[in-house]
Amino acid sequence: MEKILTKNIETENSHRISVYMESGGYEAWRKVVREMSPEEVVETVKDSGLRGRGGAGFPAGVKWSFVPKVDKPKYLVCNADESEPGTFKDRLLLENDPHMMLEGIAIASYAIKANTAFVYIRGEFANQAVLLNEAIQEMKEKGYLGKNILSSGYDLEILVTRGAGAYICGEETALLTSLEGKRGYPKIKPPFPAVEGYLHSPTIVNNVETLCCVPHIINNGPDWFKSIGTEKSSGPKLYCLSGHVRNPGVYELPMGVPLRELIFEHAGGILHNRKLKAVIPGGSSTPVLKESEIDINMDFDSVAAAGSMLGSAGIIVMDENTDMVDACYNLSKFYAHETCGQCTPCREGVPWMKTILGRITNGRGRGRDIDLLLDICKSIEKRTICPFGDAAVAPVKSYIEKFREEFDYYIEYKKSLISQNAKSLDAVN
Amino acid sequence: MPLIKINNKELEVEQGARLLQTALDNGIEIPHYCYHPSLSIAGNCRMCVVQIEGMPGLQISCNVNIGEMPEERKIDGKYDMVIETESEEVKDSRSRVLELLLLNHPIDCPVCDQAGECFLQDYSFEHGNASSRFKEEKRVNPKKQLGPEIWIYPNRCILCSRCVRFCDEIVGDPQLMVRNRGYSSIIDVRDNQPIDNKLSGNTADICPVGSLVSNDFLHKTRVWNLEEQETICMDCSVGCNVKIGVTVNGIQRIKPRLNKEVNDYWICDDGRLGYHAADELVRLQSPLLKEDDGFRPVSWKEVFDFISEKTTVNGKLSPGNMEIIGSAYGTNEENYLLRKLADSLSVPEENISLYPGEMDGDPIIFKSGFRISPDKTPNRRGSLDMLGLKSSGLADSLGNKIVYLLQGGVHDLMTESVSEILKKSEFLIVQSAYLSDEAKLADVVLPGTFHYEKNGTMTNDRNRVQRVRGVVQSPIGVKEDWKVIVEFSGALGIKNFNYESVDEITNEAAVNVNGYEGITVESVGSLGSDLNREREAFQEKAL
Repeated sequence: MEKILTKNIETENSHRISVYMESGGYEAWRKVVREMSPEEVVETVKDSGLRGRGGAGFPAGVKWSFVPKVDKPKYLVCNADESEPGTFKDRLLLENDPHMMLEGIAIASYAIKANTAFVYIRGEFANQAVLLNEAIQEMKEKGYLGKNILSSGYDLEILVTRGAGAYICGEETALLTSLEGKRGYPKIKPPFPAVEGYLHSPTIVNNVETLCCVPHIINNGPDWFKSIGTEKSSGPKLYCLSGHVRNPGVYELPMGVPLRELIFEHAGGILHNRKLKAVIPGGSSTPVLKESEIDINMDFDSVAAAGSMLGSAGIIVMDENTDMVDACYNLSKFYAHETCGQCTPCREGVPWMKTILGRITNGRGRGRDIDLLLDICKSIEKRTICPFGDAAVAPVKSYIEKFREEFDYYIEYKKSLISQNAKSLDAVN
Repeated sequence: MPLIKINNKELEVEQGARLLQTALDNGIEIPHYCYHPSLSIAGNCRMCVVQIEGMPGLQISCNVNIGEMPEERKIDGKYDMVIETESEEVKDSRSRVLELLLLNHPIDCPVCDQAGECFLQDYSFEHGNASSRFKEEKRVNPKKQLGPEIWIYPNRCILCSRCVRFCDEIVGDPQLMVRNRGYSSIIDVRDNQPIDNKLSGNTADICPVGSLVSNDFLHKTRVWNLEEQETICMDCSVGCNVKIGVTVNGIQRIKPRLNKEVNDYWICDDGRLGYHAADELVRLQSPLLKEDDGFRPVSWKEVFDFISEKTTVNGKLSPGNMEIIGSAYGTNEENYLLRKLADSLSVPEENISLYPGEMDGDPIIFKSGFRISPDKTPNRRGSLDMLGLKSSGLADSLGNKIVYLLQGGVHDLMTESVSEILKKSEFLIVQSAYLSDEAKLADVVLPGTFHYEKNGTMTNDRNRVQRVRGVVQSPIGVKEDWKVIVEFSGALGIKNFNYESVDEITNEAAVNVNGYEGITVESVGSLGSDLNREREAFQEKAL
């Protein structure tokens, strides 16, 4: 497939506006601001079938159309707080083609009639934030931002806000509270951000990759976009491959590419020619798939049908020597550390799961621990303010369901089923 | 109006009504922790879940507003919402949340002040599990004093954030915050500055568990030993509604009592701790007569005989010779009797006054509108009404007179000028709970009652008449002030003050005092009754 989102990343100085414009950059923005009405933009994006790339896969155009016609300022927020373990696609775009994202932000802001847009960038992306501010400056110099852009009468400012290191601030409502200068707590819904978000005003939050698709949709039309990918998941997708593969990295391919093809052709197969054991298809918050389950296409609906989620397409590959109990403990440590502590089930339940898993891996597991873990999952699932609870439960639940024998072995024999030899071999490699 | 069904109970509710509040108002208990009617919705405890037909999973009822549905979406053709609060799924969810809330809870009920009125206890008994599946080490944080009136026992905390929201939304001074993240979250003060706002004590009241507790009440008594009595606070002219916890040892604590018209759910710390003003007082238990070398305790009979002799027998009592000074700390009934006495003796208007004088200053007004008045007397408004006065303060016309001063308060307020005026009187009778500065100048001192021993009504500075109930017994030898006034009147030759109870005076005053028409013990009730009139117009008439 011809590269769309990543076409410039190999080019030298691809983060500069001159390089971006040489390849047709800002054509879409000029067209939108001069020729199109906001409603036309929303319709075009709706027609393209573009679905949010942040994880939930909600149609972007539909989301935009939720903005109520009220006499309040509207805001667009670009969610660049990429922190899902196994996901590193937005970072690539931020570093190598910030202007593509900025153009997308400008178009989206115009579509929802926002005069202020924010980029909420992950705190650890310190250099990327510098690049981004430089890019915004370049945009201003070209007259693509500011007052009365290209004599259209439309004003837009893009502001960069850096996060402070909390994973939860990638959740859109927590991101908004953080943006407001408060503690990064998710908000209860309703009201939804599109109706009442940043400073109680209508706010649309879109992922970096989603926004990067927008200029291409404007330039090439919704039909072109729909011709890529599957019927219900259109367009190109960045897949992040990591773990035990030969060539980890970001791969741009159409939506719906077979998972096995991704791993074995594009990423070069499993390291050291070992056997594949399991794959996390969409970032650490999505349920794990066993080797026998990976013959699926990587689009929102197919992955959901297989009992997992496309999520952010952060594909983590695990080979036969992976100790699943340890892997599960590792992830639960992450979630126990990152739970914001606002609502009861997540604050108390997630660290409890971590403690139990820690005990098991220390050889102090008890007979009832596994059933208890599954029951704690039940206590958390769907009972929390935001999706974090479900995200923390997904690995524990799916690892236990699919690799129960490893957990049972650990508890009974106080050691891993995966042989110590295999482990030490791993260490050498 | 939307029609809803909660557990087969049909209810017609206001458009936009909050489901949880609607249920509670209609006697349907939905367990909850973080929800408080006067605070914003946090939705973090997850206890108040219910099942709503047509909605997926369980919903937190605190964040559901009931609205009218279009015809085609009505359930069973008529209901706008059908709610189940006791389904198996709901019960299961509650017990799961309770299990999680109790994971790290120390279960130290035997030493916890909240025990007995703790929602963690109540809901655990009702919806929780008998044993814990948590076999790990508990999270432990040390207790800490957050401010003059507040302690935190973080291990008991369920992080409902009521206290934090209270400081933000009611006080308008965000002195509390959640420190740290996730499992380590803990309620703490901001910038290491103590929580010292004047409403801080309320944070302990709204804490649904025993995490924030009152410094004043700390380990004082178990709550089930308390007899809770309803009255109003006497520490400023706002007249906040309170309930006072009393044991045989006297007042143990003062807590706010909901009155949307006056104080909502709150009281200030001045009022909360105001009862301590009486702690150090040496109470008078018998009348005193001044002699050369100080005061001599005498019996009630002796004192009234003495007064009678001093005034009527020697013929000194003439209307122009008598000065009657009411008290802004006194009840309406006490001041009414004084006015009645004045009228019976034909005392001229200029010889009637109210003590103490005006207290000027700015009120303290909090974000929610809650206010603390600069006037620290509870009943200036009502006293003026009853005495038929326009303003307070002593007139400098006491020379050569018999002066009767009802003191009432328990704070030493006497200024130099008041002292000068009082010293001029020839025969000074002071009625006071203790040997106050004023009483020291007196020829005769009659023992009086302390705030929370009084019965009757008071009128707050916004013209609301409210009930005052004696919550503690007076010391032996002390009579209610209104009874003393009746007997005092008798000593002056006025024998027709016959009252069985203070309520009779309340009802009589309503008939005789302009503006109080229709005020009865019943109409005042436990929440008070507004006077229906224009203040100014009434005052013109009174004068």
